[in-house]
Amino acid sequence: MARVSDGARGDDLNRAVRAAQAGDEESFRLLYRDVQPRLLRYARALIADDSDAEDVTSEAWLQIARDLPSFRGDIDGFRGWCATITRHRTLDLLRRRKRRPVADLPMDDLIGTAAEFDTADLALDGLSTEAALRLIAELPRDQAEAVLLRAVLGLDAKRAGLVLGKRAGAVRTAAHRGLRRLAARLAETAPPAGSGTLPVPGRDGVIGSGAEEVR
Amino acid sequence: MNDPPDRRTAERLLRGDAAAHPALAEMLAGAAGPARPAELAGEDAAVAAFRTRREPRPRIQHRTLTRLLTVKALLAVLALGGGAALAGGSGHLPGHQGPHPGPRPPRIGTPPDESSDRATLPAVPSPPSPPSPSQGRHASSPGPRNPTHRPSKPSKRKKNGKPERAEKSKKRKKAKKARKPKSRHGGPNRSPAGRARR
Repeated sequence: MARVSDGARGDDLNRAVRAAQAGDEESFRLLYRDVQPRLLRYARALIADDSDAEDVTSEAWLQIARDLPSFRGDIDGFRGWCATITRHRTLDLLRRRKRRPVADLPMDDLIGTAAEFDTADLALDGLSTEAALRLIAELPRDQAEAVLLRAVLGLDAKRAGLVLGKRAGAVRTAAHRGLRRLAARLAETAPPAGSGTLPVPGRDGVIGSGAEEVR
Repeated sequence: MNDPPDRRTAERLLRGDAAAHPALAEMLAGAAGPARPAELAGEDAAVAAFRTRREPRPRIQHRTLTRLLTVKALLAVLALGGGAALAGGSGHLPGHQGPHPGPRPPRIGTPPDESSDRATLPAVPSPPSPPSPSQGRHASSPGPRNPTHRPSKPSKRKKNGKPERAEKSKKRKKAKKARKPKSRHGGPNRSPAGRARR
């Protein structure tokens, strides 16, 4: 999913990183709109609680805003850096949660949010962002992280490895396993033989865009 | 269309080649789909944090100041370390007492020395004799000990009472560093570095 450093948009974002470091607020907003949805989707897949995931990313942004001047790199590096910060905070939260007595846990956690996502819904509403993320969140954590960092954060294997503290090869393996599983899940739901319900054209326009449609 | 992708196909897909596996590409495109307004709810809070961070400028000055101080402290420590070497050379440290007076002053300087020591430690092949005690000592107080760590040799030389000893010991220190790498290949037991280490 398109490392976004390619093309004009990537250039804009590279400039935005530098300008935000110099204090430009609009550039910071631009970066937020590009990166925050990705961070949030990543955190949600790991935490399985939307409001906790929002808290985690909010905290991450406080740190990002504070430490931005010391960051070195382009937009790809910036995404990786933000992902690392978010990941640390996410893991902190998961650790705190583990220590919490069971009685305090919200009902969702007890039941296990992994209450199998009904893949039949997928066929109905196409592959919405929500449906796709829920499928990815069902993967074992290392696979889900590898897929999300690469496909949603847009990092290459090496950068994703830096975030995860793994080698690029290990990330590729985890992502590959995750994708195999996802393909199997899709096969469960796919309508029989080539009914072609999912229109393909224009996909490239959708991939990895992020913020521009929102404003 | 929904065949499980092989490794290469997966990699192509993740690099943005949707044709590698259209069904999965569709799904991943969904996962990376456009931002929804709810996902950006924290924008103003983040921007506020960005703004307040920029106001107190002194923070940066403070940081550079601390950095400067650290450099100064390091220099001071180096000077101290040199002093220790001098003291060791001038015979104030009788061989058997070596470990005691040695560590105190140089301890401040442990970080830089430690790193350099750690870098070289594994390179020196451990002597045939049981390495555990010497390694333990290195771990507890590394680099700076080296000048005081030659209990027998310096005390012997002390009897000769050569005046330029301090300088010599410095020179030897340098020479030792230069020789260390060689000891990797040649017999470590014969090299002075190897001896000093035990």
